[in-house]
Amino acid sequence: MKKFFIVCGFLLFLGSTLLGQQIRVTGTVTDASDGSTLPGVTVAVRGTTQGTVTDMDGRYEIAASSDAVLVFTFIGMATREVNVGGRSVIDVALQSDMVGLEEVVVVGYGVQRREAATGSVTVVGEQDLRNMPTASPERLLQGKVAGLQLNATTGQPGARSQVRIRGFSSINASSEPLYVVDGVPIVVGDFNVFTSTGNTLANLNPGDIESITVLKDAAAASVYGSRAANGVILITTKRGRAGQPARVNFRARTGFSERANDNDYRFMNAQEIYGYNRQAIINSGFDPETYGPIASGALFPGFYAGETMPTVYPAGHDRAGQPIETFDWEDAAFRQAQFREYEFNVSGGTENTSYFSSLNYTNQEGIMIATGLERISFRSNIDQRVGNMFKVGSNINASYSFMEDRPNQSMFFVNPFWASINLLPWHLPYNEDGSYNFTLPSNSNANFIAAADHDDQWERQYRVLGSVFGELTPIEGLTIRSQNSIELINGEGRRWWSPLGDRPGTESGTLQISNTRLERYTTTNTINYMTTVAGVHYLRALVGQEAFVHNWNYHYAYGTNIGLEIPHLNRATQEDSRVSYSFNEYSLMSFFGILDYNFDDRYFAQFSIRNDGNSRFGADNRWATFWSVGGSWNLHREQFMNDFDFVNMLKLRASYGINGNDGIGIYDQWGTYSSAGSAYNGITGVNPSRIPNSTLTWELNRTYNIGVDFALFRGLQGSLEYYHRSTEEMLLSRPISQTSGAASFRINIGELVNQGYEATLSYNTNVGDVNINLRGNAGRNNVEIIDLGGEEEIGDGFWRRFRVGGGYSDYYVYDWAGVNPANGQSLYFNEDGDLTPSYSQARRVFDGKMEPNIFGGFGWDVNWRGFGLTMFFEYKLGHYVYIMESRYTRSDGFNWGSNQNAQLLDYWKQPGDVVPNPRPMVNNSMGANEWGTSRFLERGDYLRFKDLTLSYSLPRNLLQNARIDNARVFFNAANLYTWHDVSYWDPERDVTGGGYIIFPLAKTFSFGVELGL
Amino acid sequence: MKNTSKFLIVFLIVFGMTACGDDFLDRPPILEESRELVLQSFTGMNNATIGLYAEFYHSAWYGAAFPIITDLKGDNSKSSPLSSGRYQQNYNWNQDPSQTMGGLWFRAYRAITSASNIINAAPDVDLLPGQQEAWVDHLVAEAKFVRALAHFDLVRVFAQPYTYQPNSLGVPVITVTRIGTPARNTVAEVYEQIESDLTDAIAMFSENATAFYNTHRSGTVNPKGFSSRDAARALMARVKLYKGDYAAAAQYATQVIDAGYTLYTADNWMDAWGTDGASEIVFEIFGSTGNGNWPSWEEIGYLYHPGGGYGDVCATNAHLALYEPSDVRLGIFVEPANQQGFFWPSNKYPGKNDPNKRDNNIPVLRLSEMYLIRAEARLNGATGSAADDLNAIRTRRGLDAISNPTMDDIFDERRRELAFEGHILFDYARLGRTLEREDEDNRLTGPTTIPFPSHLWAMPIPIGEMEANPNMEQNPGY
Repeated sequence: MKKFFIVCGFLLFLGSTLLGQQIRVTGTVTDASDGSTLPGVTVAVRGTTQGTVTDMDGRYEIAASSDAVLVFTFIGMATREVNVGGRSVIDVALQSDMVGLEEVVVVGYGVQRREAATGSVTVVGEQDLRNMPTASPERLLQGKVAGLQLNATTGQPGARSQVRIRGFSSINASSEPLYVVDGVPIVVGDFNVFTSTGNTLANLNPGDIESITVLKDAAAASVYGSRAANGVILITTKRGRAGQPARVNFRARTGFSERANDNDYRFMNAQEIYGYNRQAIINSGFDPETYGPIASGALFPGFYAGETMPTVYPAGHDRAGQPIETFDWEDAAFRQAQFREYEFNVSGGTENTSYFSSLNYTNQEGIMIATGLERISFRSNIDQRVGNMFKVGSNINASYSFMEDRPNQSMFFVNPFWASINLLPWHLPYNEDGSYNFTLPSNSNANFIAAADHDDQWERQYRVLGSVFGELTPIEGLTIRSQNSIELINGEGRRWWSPLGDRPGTESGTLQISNTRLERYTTTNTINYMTTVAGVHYLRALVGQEAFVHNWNYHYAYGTNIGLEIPHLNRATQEDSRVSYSFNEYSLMSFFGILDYNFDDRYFAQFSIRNDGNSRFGADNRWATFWSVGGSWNLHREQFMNDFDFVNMLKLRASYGINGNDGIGIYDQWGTYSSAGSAYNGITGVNPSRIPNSTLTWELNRTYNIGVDFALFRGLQGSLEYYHRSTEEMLLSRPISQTSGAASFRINIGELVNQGYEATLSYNTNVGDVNINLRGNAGRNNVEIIDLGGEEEIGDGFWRRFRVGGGYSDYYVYDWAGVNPANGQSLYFNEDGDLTPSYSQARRVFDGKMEPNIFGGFGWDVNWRGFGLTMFFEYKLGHYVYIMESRYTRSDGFNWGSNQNAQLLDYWKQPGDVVPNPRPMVNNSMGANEWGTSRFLERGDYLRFKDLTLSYSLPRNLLQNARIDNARVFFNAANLYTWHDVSYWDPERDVTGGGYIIFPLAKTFSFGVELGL
Repeated sequence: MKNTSKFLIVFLIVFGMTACGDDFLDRPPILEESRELVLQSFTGMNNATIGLYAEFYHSAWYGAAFPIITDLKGDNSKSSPLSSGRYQQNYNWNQDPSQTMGGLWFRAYRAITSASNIINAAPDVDLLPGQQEAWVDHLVAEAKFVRALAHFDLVRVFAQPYTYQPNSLGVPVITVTRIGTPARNTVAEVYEQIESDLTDAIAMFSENATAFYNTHRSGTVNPKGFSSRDAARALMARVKLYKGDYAAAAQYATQVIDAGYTLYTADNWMDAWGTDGASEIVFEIFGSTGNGNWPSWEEIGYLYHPGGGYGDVCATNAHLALYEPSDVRLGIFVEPANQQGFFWPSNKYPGKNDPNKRDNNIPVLRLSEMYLIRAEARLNGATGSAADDLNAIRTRRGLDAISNPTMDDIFDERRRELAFEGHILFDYARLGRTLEREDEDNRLTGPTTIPFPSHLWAMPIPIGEMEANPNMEQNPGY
């Protein structure tokens, strides 16, 4: 705490020296149409976060430097900027007919007035990005953008997310969007070797982000050509503004995360599992007192040795009256995870130079032991004007992260989640002498606590994303720009299996280390010309070229028999070690153009074209051209709309275009040989592993979009859209004549269609001096497979199939019919629809799909004086999830010997029982827990209370003496409550709906302060 | 104007990059062995040649299915009391296009195309100083041998015998790798390609294959697991026999007989199995758990092994009845104590190092067969004494010599000597013999008589090929 004050003191000092001459400005804001005063108008000092709101009488008071610019914004009104110019009283009248239309949004290769948009573009601003604590900024988009489905693959800090914009576009190529940061397409995905926390986007500090623009349709995205099929996410970071006094912001936040469990999902306690297993023994026709495993003591220490097995577990004691110790394994696997974040930034500008610099430190523990992410990130964005015609600048982002992990996302016995589920409560982690207990038959004798204490599994990542640009404006309207960037990710990983961790009796361990490097170079060169002819014809033309190289390499070394004293690879002998190296590289060359025309701000037309060459594709089809057209009509600017005062904006738009998907394997086109399967006669040869495919080409997306944007009654805004997006020439494997030496071949033959509706609505109003902002969105997407290259169905991993006429991928499961009330056996439907106890006779049926029908979010912000309350909810409806580990955790005795889910307690006991779970049997082979049965398929619908934020901004008059501009304290609860019916701690999982032992999303509670000087 | 020229310069720099666009977009996989890289050096081509042999040991080919099915269908073996159903449909002669020998079709064409890659790339191969053209010739000879054997196995399985209808549907002859829709060549055309490849191979093999392998395949366990000039001659002898060209068959057989291999004797017959490079072996598939296409639990030895293995298939009574008590070859049979009256030929595939007997050499060409080929050829007009050749075998197996052997004597001798090595079915076919068998244990649900001629002597083209290749014509009757 002492340190905190020192830092604050330092900031105060810094602030007071940086600030210019401050004066107090007061005034009244009125509605220009009728002269009435406007309460709730935001008054801000441009280039700062300094601001206030007008009171009931439309009055305001703000501290600003004498040369500052005040910005007046109000929903339903045109924003106005006024130079202070030394004045202390400034009254302002706002016009009502330009509803947020002058707002400028970042789009592909430029910016655009919102009013000029012809495509489908959604902007998420800073205010939506600041509340929730997260290491990965893309997660802040969840529920905020109609038509954007985001699935957190895990709840682990720094894990990657899956984003689907307007559905699922492909079976064998990628469905992920393109991410562009400040004009540079960046790499996304997980490049870590030993951890699942290597989301490259997690290197980006959310606090640096000014806005995120999501380009959804062809008109908006097609200028990104072969990478635009799945939409584009443009991330724009903060910059300083010329002439803006230096401003310093400091922010600190701390809190903790806990496992969410809003459904009381739990495993049996000692008494329950004891009784359940005893019943299973009896049901199997054995006598509990003499049954083998018990007699041997392997599973029930304390209850055998010739004793009669008690009918009821005597809580805490065995029959001889000896106390029985139990252990809460789940408690040992999960924890209350700590979270800390500190951020410092400074921005400002002189006439010719502007800058934004920031430093951020984040430390977020995972709710599972020995997992977490620590990150330091730095940014510097600088713009420098050189003479009248030239401008240069640079954006540098450097970060370091340290990520710690455990074997995860699968049924590893040292995965703390899985182990804590398996372990029986009376199996104890430590022996009497304090050493680790490695006699744990309920978890294959693995002690995850020992492993977490002594094994290493981590990755360090260093990332630099830097670009420099130069801009020449030789004549009015003409801009020649060149931006050149490098993205560098260097990773270092270590996995150490210590002899102390999980290998009793061994004296040496196994070590793996890795070093990865990813480099990307991009050059983007554009010529842009804008002109207005005769005052009403606005024209913009842009031509550009972009070239890009991506290369990745990876060194891996492995050694065994490494002693504990020096657990490093230099201790491995030549015989006990091996190394390997991987490398891949691809490149893209593009030429593109954009043509914008508008007549009198009423009629807009936009055309874009891009020619891409991509090294991933065969020489025959390497180059392709993509294009789009869009048009819009601003009805509110027409004469005939003058009578409709309540219509502040009404805009119709339509677009059509074609873009591509290059998300296929980097070397899919090449014929190769491989040594796999080619060893013979004591030596190793090579054999063809892939046949050359020079015809391989892009999947195409053909997208129509129509939409209407409106603003009514000065507070209600929204848009409605319909889209139809067909994926053509979809890559599928096709059987070929085996006289070619291969059985199948990828060709571009399939087709699928995504179509849907999107609605976005917001309403802003003032009730007294309470400002209320309601907002919500919904996306409805329907995906249908049209053509699978002549096949009717194709398998899709675990128990799902792609089928013509079906959704993207439908579950294809064994049709479980519940429990037979007569005898407690499980029942299935057979091909004839009759009941059968036999799994092998069960019919398979399509039952449920993995993609949601409707998803989105809604919420509200309420502000009163300095107090703010934000509540935001996110939902997904209409999809199914498959809880894969239920085969073992709800196994009716099959996985006898490990703990079981408490749901099983509702099992069949006597004839006539109508219950969800069969009669337990030892080593049950009755088939109720078999692979792929509909029993474990569940509705994945959920509604999540994602964000609760309470904040208070200290009154300005209190702060002025301390020369503090703004001080805010806030409390946030993330994922506070989730309504769902999924048999798991949290319903969210990756888009496939499957997976084993998902690291669940956590609830996070945090508290923070912000200071602006 | 000054400005305009500046734009032009920028424009030219920017768009000048188009010219080099295709070089810029050329990013081959430098760590994977691309076709081009592998096939342009002697070392790469040598590795690709080693890879050819790995195909043979696949469970769909010599590693299990091919020899097992041949003997099952040819009445040397039957579905045993231990059977869990493996190969039952082959025992029944149930020739469903969706199930029958699709794996062999795929494997054989994989070998044919890979071999063709080597043969076609050889003229352009880059040699390092010290590497000789003759070495490349040797690789081409091996590839041609593999291609010949693969074509031969395909035409034996999927077509009627040459001796019956040489101009009936054979299999597509493939000499260039491409994704195509080839139609079937005639049986005679396939034989022509096989003979042409073998003729080339005989000319191109290095004089001393063992020396070649010791130099260029250091680590080789068994040089007879690779092909050689003798192997090409031995295969040619068999091909000529299958054509009914007896003079040529005798001629090639003689070349192998005179090449220095030694017949097993009554004393060492049993030692020959489970040994690498035994004295009779001209070419065998080297079996090992370390092979790339190791069939694992489907390996032939595990299948024939009744105690500890699957033991799905055992010998027929009809086959056992061919032996006299003094015949040392009876030693290959095992009669488990709890399965009295049933005999598994598991000592022919006794394994080498694997405790589960899953690492057997599969004899493909050996000296006894050459004697039997020559005996049959001599009986059919080739010069020399058929009895001498037949008796060379008989006297070394514990049997008496016979003086005037008939075709039946030779047929039965082949049936005994080459049993479970993948011959009998094709002997029936090429000689046009009707197969009569009995349902010995009430396990046979297929026909007991397969007349000759019958459409059944050519197995159906696998359904996967039929669906993917519009030019593929199915055999009559399916």
